[in-house]
Amino acid sequence: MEIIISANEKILSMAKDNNLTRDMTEQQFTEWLNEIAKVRMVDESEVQEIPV
Amino acid sequence: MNRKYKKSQFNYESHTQSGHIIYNTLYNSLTRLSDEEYQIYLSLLEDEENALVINQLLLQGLWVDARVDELEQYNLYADYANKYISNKPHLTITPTMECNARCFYCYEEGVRCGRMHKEQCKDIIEFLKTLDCSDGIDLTWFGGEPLMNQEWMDCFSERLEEAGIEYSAFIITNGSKINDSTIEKMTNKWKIQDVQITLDGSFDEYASRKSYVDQDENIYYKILQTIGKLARNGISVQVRMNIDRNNRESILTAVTDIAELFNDNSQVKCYPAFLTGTSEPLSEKEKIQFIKSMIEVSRGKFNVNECLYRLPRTKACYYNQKSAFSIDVNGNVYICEHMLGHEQQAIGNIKSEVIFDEREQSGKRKECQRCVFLPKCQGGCVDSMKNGDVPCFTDRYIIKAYLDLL
Repeated sequence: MEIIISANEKILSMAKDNNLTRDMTEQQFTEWLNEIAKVRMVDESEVQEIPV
Repeated sequence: MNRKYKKSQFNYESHTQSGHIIYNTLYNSLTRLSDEEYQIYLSLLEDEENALVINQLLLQGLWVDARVDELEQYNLYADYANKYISNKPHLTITPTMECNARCFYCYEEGVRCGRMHKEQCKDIIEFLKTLDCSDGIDLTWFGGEPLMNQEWMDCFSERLEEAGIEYSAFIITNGSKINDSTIEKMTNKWKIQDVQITLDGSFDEYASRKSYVDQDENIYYKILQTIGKLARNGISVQVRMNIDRNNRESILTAVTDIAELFNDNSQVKCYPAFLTGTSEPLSEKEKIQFIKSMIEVSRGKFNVNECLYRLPRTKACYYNQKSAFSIDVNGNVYICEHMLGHEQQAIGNIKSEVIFDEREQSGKRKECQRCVFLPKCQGGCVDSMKNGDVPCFTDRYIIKAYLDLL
């Protein structure tokens, strides 16, 4: 298997556990965002120009 | 049998001679599978023998936990982001609705021309004071041709400074009025960091489509020179290429020219826009085929990466952003730049009252909710849809074309 672009781990973790629920308050959503922010993500410098 | 995993509903598959390519439009992963790996992917079976492949399928989001409702999670994320995360105000302002070009496709055709007056600067600043400008604002100079009223741009920039409102700006221009003096102002006075210039083909085709009032047979080359000057002065240039059935060959020539002239300058990028409102619109297949040709001649000037890496959209465009407004020369305020000059569509006027309603989210339409490209598009252009055109943004065609080339 050839991984040409790795998944964005922050977004991947977003959908992982059905963590977002209906009727979340602003504070709950902000806390969730802060948790997501802790997930390591590929640094922009690691992003490669994809050749054709 | 209940499976532990399912395929992500955001997997877009392309089967080429080089293998089975899968791009996930939500997680932005791009993976090439062999025939054998693809059969494992399809099987959804957990088999220790295939643990390595399965582990990668999960890491790349191609398989997800069967209990996860990805669409609902993404919708909730977009809804909360729109509700709880405030965007800087965005203003699209038209210093003038006059234009020295006469493009046949202009959606402002028939709109009464006019210019902003200096007194209106104060009214717009007062309007801005009703918004939260504590983090500054984003400004788009639009028209008509905005550079046909530079005095007003000077005046409004000065009023913003006086009011202590930070801003950064983008300009949509045909480029014909740009010279050394305007470039200096762009940088030092108008805080313009990005410019959009339209090239609808090369040489004759370009001149014919723009049909400038002040005809100049070398206008195409002058615009190319201008693009170079802007880029050398550190201003990013997005070259928009409006495509229809009749200018495809000429567009490819223009892309080739840009690739040759600006090969070493990363400030210059081009992107396709398929003309709407035409009697014979290109089919999806034709669009993809044409973008493949553009990518092939563009030598990296075609910004495929931006489509592939872009984070999932929470809204399609400014139409859906509560703090984004377009203002015409009469002070009428709209939720979309495509409405400029059509007073009956205004939500108010800067001199009287503006109605701040919630904006509809275009991606909630049934067909969009079923679309694998939803995270890249969020419903696309409402104006196109209302006019009977395909609303989808070009990302879907660019991604499909690029995957076919891999």
